Parts: sequence; structure tokens; C-alpha cells
Amino acid sequence: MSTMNNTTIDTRTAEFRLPLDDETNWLYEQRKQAWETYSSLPLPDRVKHLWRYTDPRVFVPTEDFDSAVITGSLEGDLPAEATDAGVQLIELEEAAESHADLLQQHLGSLVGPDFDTFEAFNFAAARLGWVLIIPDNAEFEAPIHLRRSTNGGLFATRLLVIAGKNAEVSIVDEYNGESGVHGQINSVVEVIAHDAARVKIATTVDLPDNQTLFLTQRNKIGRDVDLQSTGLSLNAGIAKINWSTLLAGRGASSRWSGLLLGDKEQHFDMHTRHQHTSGESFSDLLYKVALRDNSMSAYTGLIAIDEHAAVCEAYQENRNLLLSETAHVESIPELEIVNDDVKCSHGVTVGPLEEEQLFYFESRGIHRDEAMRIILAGYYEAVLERLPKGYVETGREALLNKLMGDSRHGG
Amino acid sequence: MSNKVPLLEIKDLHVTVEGVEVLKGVSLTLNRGEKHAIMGPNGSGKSSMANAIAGHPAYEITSGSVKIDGEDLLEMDATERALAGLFLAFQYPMAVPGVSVTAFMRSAMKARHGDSAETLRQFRKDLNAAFELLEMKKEFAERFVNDGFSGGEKKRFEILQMAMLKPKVAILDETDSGLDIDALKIVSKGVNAIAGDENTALMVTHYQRILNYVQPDYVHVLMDGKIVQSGGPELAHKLEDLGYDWLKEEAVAA
Ligand SMILES: Nc1ncnc2c1ncn2[C@@H]1O[C@H](COP(=O)(O)OP(=O)(O)O)[C@@H](O)[C@H]1O
Ligand SMILES: [Mg+2]
Repeated sequence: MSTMNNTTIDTRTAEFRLPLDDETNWLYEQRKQAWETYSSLPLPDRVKHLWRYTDPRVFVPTEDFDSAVITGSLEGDLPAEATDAGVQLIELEEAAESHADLLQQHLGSLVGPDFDTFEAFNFAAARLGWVLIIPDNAEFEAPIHLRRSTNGGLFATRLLVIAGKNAEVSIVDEYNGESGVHGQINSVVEVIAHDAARVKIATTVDLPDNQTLFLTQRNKIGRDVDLQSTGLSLNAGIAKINWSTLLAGRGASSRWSGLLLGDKEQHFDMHTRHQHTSGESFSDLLYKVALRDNSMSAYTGLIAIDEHAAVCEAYQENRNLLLSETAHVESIPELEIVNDDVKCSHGVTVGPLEEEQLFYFESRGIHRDEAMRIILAGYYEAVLERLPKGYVETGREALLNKLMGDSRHGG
Repeated sequence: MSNKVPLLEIKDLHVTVEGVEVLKGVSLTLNRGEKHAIMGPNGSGKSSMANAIAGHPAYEITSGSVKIDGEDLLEMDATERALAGLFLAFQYPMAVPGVSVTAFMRSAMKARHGDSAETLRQFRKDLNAAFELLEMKKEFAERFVNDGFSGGEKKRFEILQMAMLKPKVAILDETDSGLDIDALKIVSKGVNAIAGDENTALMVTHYQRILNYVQPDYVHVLMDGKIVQSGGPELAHKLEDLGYDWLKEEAVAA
């Protein structure tokens, strides 16, 4: 293992500032514009389908953020193999200076300031974040591990990933936080994968019950790219995630596998979108949800296949287990397919744990609670086994902790 | 002989499923060291009896009593019944995707013997031995429980569990159905190796096929929720030759 030689960017915090006159770099103008956009846009309309299930006001800064100090922490581990392969993990502010051309080209190219209200806020306010640059043909197995958390208040953060041609990379992008700290995270992730890149990204949300997450992620993948994404929604008060991949090259392939284990009053609103603009592209999506107590999951999943994208395959499956009478699920598959020459399927199931399965365990002397945990862990296995190598055990353990009910977030 | 030790005593058992009475007063005693067979046409209530005794929530026991090794079985929930030494080999075992055979067996063994390093060593040994007994390939250990198993594999896995759990009272529900002759021989060998002087087994079947390989001491015939005839192994052969119709006629005549 290469852990000994990791480059760790220290945990550190920065204050949020509005775009100030003394900012000299090129980003200043763009941030100022984004700020104006944000200030002029109304809150998202709840009639719009993506906001039907979640009140946008929960993502507005709780304090008057003109004056609020907004801080967060970043922690990034770059394995030695990655450094050797020429990978660069650069903090946003530094990259704006050192890689101005690259950022001017790509930062905001997928999620720009005019995307929507909270994305505009993010563009203006995000000071802490990274640019991750993977050179053409770089190849390594150990995941690049990124952790972000709020220190209280609203934390706006961004990540831009640029994977070069034929590069192979694994990334773990974690949002976590200490219980007791109230806070909001607003994050934007943009991933640009050039031809034939192979990219694995695990996104883990493990926030205390009194924190919210607003995350918009856009991936754009080129010819023959293989993108494998996993999403572990383990804990948060309210999380709204808008995830989308644009399959923009022939032979591109995107697979998203996600799980959610909600409990208490938790509220998860997930939107996924696979947009095929190129022919002979493949997408697959599996979202496995289980809900306890009064928790809620809203899922809207869109498959869009453009007119000129022939011979595509697109699959989408959302399974939901209701573990209590008061848990609530909404699941809405959406298809916009303007091409006849495609294979496509989608499915949704909602139901309780099978009594027959539980009885099978009980008849072997296994107590009901333990049986439920084992069955649920098995239910999630199809997602866990798709985590990047080097993160499978960590992910599985985090899930088991939540299943055991001794999550770090108490309550 | 007066030194009979009753391991399972069923008295006047009545069972209702979905509002319909399917067992209408069954009494049966299984003593230590005995093998019994319950035969009967489809729909006569054999599985209902097995499931009700194991504690399946869909089968409501409306009256009667069941004791396991002297203790009141009906006071216990399904888990407690299993821990008290009851085992049911299911007619249709459930698939549990994502849970390996090893993980499943380990948790069943942990429930009995705890989680020490010593029990883990013993578990590995016992599991290997059970795999050999039932002539199952080692790869099976990592497959998901009953997920994509053939009919014969499911039945073998049920008997493998019985070998591991060493029950006092084993009820085998149609363990022979769907087995080809080779699989039947392997399963029977397993049952013979496990069911001995210390425990008792009740084989539920509507063919007498398995009884050629696992010799019962007693044979009972269940029809329409009642035991209508009991006898020795010769009763099974008579049923094979004559079917169940003569019993129906007798029942009507009586
Ligand atoms: N889970 C169940 N739900 C509804 N009816 C059942 C159920 N189990 C058994 N029955 C009914 O009870 C009767 C006895 O069935 P069963 O015990 O399965 O018979 P056997 O095992 O002898 O073939 C049948 O009429 C059957 O349809
Ligand atoms: Mg039956």
C-alpha cells in the first residue's frame, strides 16, 4: 500500500468573502456576475418538478450571509501512485492563478452561474475546493480521497475534475461532519472525462442530522469513456442531489449505483439524468433505498436520448424498502427518447421487507433485528461491490454502522 | 419399552390459514431416536402443520398444544423455537440475494455459540465437513443464499443447514421432491448421518420415494387436516400400490 507516502493537503478553513474589490484575479468578474445573478433570481419555483418534494428555503443561508462568516474544511489525500503519474490536486484559489487558462475554459462549463439559484450562489461564494487534473494516459488504482465538511454556517465548495485521454482514476468524494455542528453545504462538482478515460467516483454523504446538503454534479464524458459512479447516502438532515451525465461520445458508458438508508426525520431528494447525445452509448442506473422511521426519499430519474443518438442502451431501476409505516417514498421515472433505435428499460418497486425472508432467518435461530440487518446489508451489496477498489471495506463498514444504529451522528 | 423420551409432542392441533381451518386436530408424538413419515395428498395440510410448528406468522394455531423436549413450544417465537432445537427444511426455501451461504450460516451459528475465535474455528471445520457430507462444491460457500440455486441445490442446502445446526427435532418438508436419483441419494445419506439416536426426524412427503433411502419407524397419513391412519413402514408401500383413495373410502365409511 502506498498510504505512507500520501500527500495530504491539510485540513484547513477559509472565510467566505463576497467578491471584493481587492480580488485581482480573473475570477473576480465572474464571481461578481454570479453574485448578481443569484441576487436577482427568485428561489426555485416549487411547481418545477425538481422542487416538488423539497422546500428550497432550507438551502438559503440561515444568517444574512453578507456578513456571515462561512467556513468549511477540506482534506485531500493524493496517493503516491497518483503523484508519480503526474496527477495534480490543486486548491481552487491557487489554481485560478496557476492554471488560469484551464479554469477559464472549464470552470462553470457544466454548472455555470446561470444554471439556477443555488448554483449561482455557489459560483459566487465557493472559495474552498479543488481542481483535480489527471494527465492523458495516467493510470493508478488507489483512490484519491477528498473530504469536505462545514464548520458551521453555510459552506460553498466546488470540485472540477479533468480526466485526460485514456487516463484511469478512482476518486472518493466524501461529505461528512461532526455532530452538534449545525450547517449547510452547497457543492458543485464538474467532471470532464476525455476520450477513453476510465473514471470511478464514489460520493458519500454522511452528515449529522442537523446539516443539509445541496449538491449539483454534472459529468460530461467523451468517446469510449467508462464512468462508474457510486453514491452512498448514509446520513443527513436534508439532502438534495442533482446528478447528471452527458454521454457525448460514441461508445461512452456511464453506470451509477446508489444506495440510501434513511431514518428519523431525514429527507433525501435525488435526481439523476442520463443524457445520450451520441450513438452507441450505454447507461445503467441502480438506486436502492430503504427507509426507517419518518424518513423520506424522493427520486426522479430521467433518461434522455437525443434524435441523433442511435443504438443506445439505457437502463434504470429504483428499489425501495419501507421499514416503517410512516416512511415515505416517491419515485418517478422519466423518459425523453427521440430515437427508435434504442434499448431502454426502467422499473420501480416499493414494498416492505419480505416476511417470508425474515421467517427463514428466524427459523434458523437468528433474531429478527439481526435478520433485518443481514437482509438489508445483502440488499445493498449490489451497490457496495461496485465501489472503487480500496474503498469497498470503508463504504461497507460505514453502512453497517448506520444499520447497527450506532451512527456517529446520534440522535 | 418404557424409556421413551418424547422430543416433540403434538396434541389436538388446530391451525387456520387465511380464515380456513387446515389442521383439524392432529396429535403425534416423536420420541428420541425415532423417524416418522407423514404422507398425504397435495393440499392435505402437511406444510401447514410444519410451518405452524415452526412459527410462521401466516399459520394461526387456534387450539392444541405442542411441546419440544418437555417445554411449551407455543409460548416461544420462531427464533426461540429454533434455538430450542427445532429445525424445518423448507419445501420452498427463500432466496436472499446479497447474503452468502457462509455469512448466513455464521450468523445462525453465532446465535447459538457466540462469536469467539474458537467458535469461528469450529464453524469453519463444521462447514467444511457439511459440504463434504452433502457433496457440495466449495464455491457454494460464497454464493448468495438460494439465489439462482437449482431445486436440488436448494434441498441440499437445507440439509446442510440441518447438519450444521444439529437439531433435536427436524421436520423435512418434501425434501425429496424435485430431486433426481443421485441428489436423492446424497440428501438421504445426509439425513441418515444426522438423524440418529439423539434426535428425531419427521419426513413430510407425498411420495414414498425417499422412504426407500431413509427408513421410517412410523408412517402416518394426513388427509384433509386429520391423521387418518398410522402404521409401520409397510403402510408407505401400501400407499404406493393403492394410492390414497382406499383411505378416503374408509374415512367415509367410518
Ligand atoms: N400461506 C397460505 N395461504 C393460503 N392458503 C394456504 C397457505 N398455505 C396453505 N394453504 C392452504 O391450506 C391447505 C393445505 O395446504 P398445505 O398445508 O400446503 O398442504 P400440503 O403441504 O399437504 O400439500 C390448502 O388448501 C392450501 O391452499
Ligand atoms: Mg406441502
